[in-house]
Amino acid sequence: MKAVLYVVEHDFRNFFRYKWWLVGLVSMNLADLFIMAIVYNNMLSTAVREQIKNYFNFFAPGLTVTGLFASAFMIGREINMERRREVHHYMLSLPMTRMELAIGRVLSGGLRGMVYMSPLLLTCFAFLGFPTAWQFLIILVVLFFLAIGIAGLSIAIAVSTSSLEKFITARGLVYYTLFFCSSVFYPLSLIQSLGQEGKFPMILVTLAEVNPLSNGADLIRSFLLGNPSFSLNMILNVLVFSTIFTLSAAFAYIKIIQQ
Amino acid sequence: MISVPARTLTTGSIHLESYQAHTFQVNATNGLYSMSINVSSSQGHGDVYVYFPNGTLVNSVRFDSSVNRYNFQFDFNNPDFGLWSVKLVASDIASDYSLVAYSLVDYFRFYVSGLSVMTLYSAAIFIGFDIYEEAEHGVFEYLLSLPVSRRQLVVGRSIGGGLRAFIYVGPLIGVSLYVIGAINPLGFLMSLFALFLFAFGVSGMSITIAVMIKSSDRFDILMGVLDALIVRLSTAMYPQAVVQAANPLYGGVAGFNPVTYAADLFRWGTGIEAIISLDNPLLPLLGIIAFFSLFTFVGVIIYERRIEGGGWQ
Repeated sequence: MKAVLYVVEHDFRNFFRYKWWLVGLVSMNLADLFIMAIVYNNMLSTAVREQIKNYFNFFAPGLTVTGLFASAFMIGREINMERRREVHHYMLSLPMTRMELAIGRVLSGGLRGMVYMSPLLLTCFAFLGFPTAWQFLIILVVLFFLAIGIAGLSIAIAVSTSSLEKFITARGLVYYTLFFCSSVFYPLSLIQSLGQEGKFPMILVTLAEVNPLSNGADLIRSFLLGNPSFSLNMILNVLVFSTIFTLSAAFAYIKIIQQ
Repeated sequence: MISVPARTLTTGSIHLESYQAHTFQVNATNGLYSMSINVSSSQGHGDVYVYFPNGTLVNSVRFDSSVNRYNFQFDFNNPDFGLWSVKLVASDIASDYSLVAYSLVDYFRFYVSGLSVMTLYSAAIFIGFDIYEEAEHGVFEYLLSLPVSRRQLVVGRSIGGGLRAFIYVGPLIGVSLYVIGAINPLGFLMSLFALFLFAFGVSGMSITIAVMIKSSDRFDILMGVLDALIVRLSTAMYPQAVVQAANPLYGGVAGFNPVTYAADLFRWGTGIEAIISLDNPLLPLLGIIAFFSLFTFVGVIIYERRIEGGGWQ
């Protein structure tokens, strides 16, 4: 356990080396919320307005998940760089088991995501209202699982790609698929109705329904806005995603960096 | 999800005594993407009948003050060309009625064209990062030793940065043109020329900022913040009127933004209907030229002064 904590500490120190990058990311996220969401609020069709009332309120939880995704994914970039520069030989020489090293990396990736996301979540609470203590706890736990799932996904991609370009391309593909096929930017019911009308492939509708980003954002909305209504599937989908990618990342990390 | 008024087709109001009727005509021009008709009754009484240009009834509804039904909105995609009729019939209570009909923006085409300009901006910015890489690897000294003047060097870098951004975004512009459809060749050439100037201007801006601050960390953050503000406070993603309505300050900034000029000119050149309130394309063209001149020619002076003496971080 102590070894895991050392790995987490190492990754946190690295995280704060990117402070300029983080400031840029925060300003972009805030610009999305305080400029883009406010302008889009004036562009909603009557049908969607009846459903979500206010785009700013709708988007704030989505933005929290966006921030969580971007920061939790950063661990992959570092691991990819370590692999290219062969720093992983040093990591493997440390007095800890491979599993401790792998778990430490996934855990730190997730925790870094949580740290970055917290001001966004607080902004969300400040504008949308505070949840009850239980709801707050559920939000934190689910978002933490979501963060380690994202870190796991990022690590799995990082160790499977040999160059930074390939990693960035894969990250772009994952990013656009997961974000645009989710309820981060638009309500899930809209995607479902487009699917029923035949304007959107049903496979993508299903992806949007099980997408952990949709479930994370909708969970916060269900507690703060009351729409969509809370469902246990939201938690289950995130847990399944998190388990799959944490385990696959840990095993891929152990297998590939030993080669 | 998105519904943005493009231009008003018909507007009117009338007072009707009990059981009196009045018909408004709405002229749907050829090739209209979408149309919205809003009807309201001050008393929440009376009936509305909407008819196609051929006289067939499309919809009929009744105002009802007891359930707060004081207005109705009818949306039509690809409405039939011709004169639509909206008949208002008062009930036993006299009431004031009003009608507003407007065409809606084809947001998909609008966004696709804005996306090209946003990508062009991001691609042209990259030249600044190259400057840092050259400084880090000592290529800068080699470039300074070449038999070209500093002025030629910066103008060349600026044009090179703009040109490669254009090549990079070329396929996306091609896809945009395919999605947008028919174009006016003369207008398109003019907007393409404006996009070239825009890309050179952005490259010049990136080089100028890079040599001014000489710190890759600061440059990275400044570009991130600038990107966040300059793109979102422009008409690349939404029409000027909507930005103005959301916040007059945002609207003011969007009105003096090179991304707005480039996006408006590109849309004008590609013949997207008058959804951008662009009365005179000369104004954004002048804006682009001013932006290009500022960062290319003023950039040359700054570049000449700051290029030597090291201090790169």
